[in-house]
Amino acid sequence: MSPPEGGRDAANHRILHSIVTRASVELFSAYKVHLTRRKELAPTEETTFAATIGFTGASMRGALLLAPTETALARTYPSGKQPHDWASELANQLLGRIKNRLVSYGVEICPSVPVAIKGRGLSIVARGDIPPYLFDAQPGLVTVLFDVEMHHELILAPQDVTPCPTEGDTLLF
Amino acid sequence: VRQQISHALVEAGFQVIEAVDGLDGVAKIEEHADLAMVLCDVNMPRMSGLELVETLLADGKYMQLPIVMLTTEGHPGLIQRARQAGAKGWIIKPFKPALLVATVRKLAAP
Repeated sequence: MSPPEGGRDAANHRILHSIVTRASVELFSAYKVHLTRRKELAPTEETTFAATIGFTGASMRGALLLAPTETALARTYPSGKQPHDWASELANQLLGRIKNRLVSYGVEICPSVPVAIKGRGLSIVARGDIPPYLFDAQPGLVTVLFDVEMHHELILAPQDVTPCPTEGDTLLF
Repeated sequence: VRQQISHALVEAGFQVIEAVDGLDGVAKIEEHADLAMVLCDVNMPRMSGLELVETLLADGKYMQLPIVMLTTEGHPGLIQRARQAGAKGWIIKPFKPALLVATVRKLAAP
């Protein structure tokens, strides 16, 4: 699925689409899980962990949902960790990546606290034309939904600001 | 993440005292006078990591205690605020255990 075509909203959505896709792939890659895009949602009876985290900001507000199947999630979390806690932490890290990318566009968002549920046969129902991002983790599936309301005057364009450091970086002062 | 950090540092031979939020962190720091360094998140319940740094370092009592932020946050303004308050470092999650241990060894050295 791809964002709508034409107009300022469409341009904004295209940029967000790129940011969310890249952030998702890079997040799982940091845990040595390679994600590839899927076009269609694959029905699965596997247990899925769905972690969601809301955010607010002057020009953008919404919610992120990260829903990996148990197989995909298990490949990222350390032994002994509770999977639903880890799903929340991954959602937090994913939103952190998106947030840090948005700084380069002059957009600041403030995340809330993540919550997670687990269940079998969960379906992600997107709102309107907000497409879910579907990934194959080989094995396992990952669904990401970035549901966002943008200020009507917002134009996402690179700003002349200091970029955020990269995830995993250590800065010593 | 707290458990992961604790595990990595204990494996490397450090003794770790955990706190559940910012206020608990301040209480634990005041309780343990022999701490070699502090690692804390920015977004924490009850007191943020930046408030923790500013609170601890404001009166000069803990000026010798290295504090490093470990967070998903990467906003240059927040990093600058932590630096100005006296924090000694900023690590963006996900952390690499070997790098974390190396950082702690460097900053916690007597």
